[in-house]
Amino acid sequence: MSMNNGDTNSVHAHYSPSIHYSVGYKGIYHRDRELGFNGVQLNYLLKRWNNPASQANVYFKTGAGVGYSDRDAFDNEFEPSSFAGFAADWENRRYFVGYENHYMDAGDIDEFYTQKARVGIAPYIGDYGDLHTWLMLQIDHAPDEDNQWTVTPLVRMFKGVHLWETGINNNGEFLLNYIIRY
Amino acid sequence: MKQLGFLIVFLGIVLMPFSAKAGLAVVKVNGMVCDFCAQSLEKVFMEEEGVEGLTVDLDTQEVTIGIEDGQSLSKEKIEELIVYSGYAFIGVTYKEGELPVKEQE
Repeated sequence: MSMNNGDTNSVHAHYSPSIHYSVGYKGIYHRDRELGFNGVQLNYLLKRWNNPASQANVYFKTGAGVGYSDRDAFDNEFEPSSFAGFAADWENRRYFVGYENHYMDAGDIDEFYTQKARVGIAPYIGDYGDLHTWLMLQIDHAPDEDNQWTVTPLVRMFKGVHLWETGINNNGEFLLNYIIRY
Repeated sequence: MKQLGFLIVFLGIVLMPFSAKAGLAVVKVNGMVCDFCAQSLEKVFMEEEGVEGLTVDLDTQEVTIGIEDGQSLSKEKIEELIVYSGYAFIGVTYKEGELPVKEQE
């Protein structure tokens, strides 16, 4: 998957041996912080609720690797880095609610916490195999940044194994995400 | 001649369970609300020997599995594959028939 928004560009390629966890490569670059990260990410499903007309999940996500910076005194500095966070979501065929937080420790280079929440509604209910569309609103909170709060209306579309998301936030910055499932 | 007729009928009754026709397994599943996520069901079941195809109905939360002639798919195996795919298995009913042909797009 590739995620690109007003602050970050990231690539995540992972493999799920079972529904309980996935492991893979994570590369991310925080443009405002001029902080990059390359490493291994582990996603672990803590709990899933399979209900007759809905599903909810709680995940723990963590990663370890190397962080690097282009910024001022840290120019070209590399540090062992790690991150961790929780994610939770609930959805039925009409509504979606999700929350995720993320703590990043890049040694001497940087340390920060972010969180985001999403709500979504499907304007129509498609059958299996149809093109599905969701209208979503994403709110990002980065407590130590100048623009602490960012609001991004976006459109999610998926068909088959392909999923796209595109949006624009309140600062005029674009969001473009793409996921392919093998 | 009468005895031969009796023998044919007898063998027919005895061997009928071993000469299964193409069948369907209609599986009731919980948690199947997302088309993108349900793609995993297709991948998992199509790797199973004897499965010729499947359809997913998100409205009724049912997966209909087409089983090839002469093949079978036990309830235990179906439950194992449904749980492996991340969903809750509720039950399965078997019936004769064929999967509906997908509409061309």
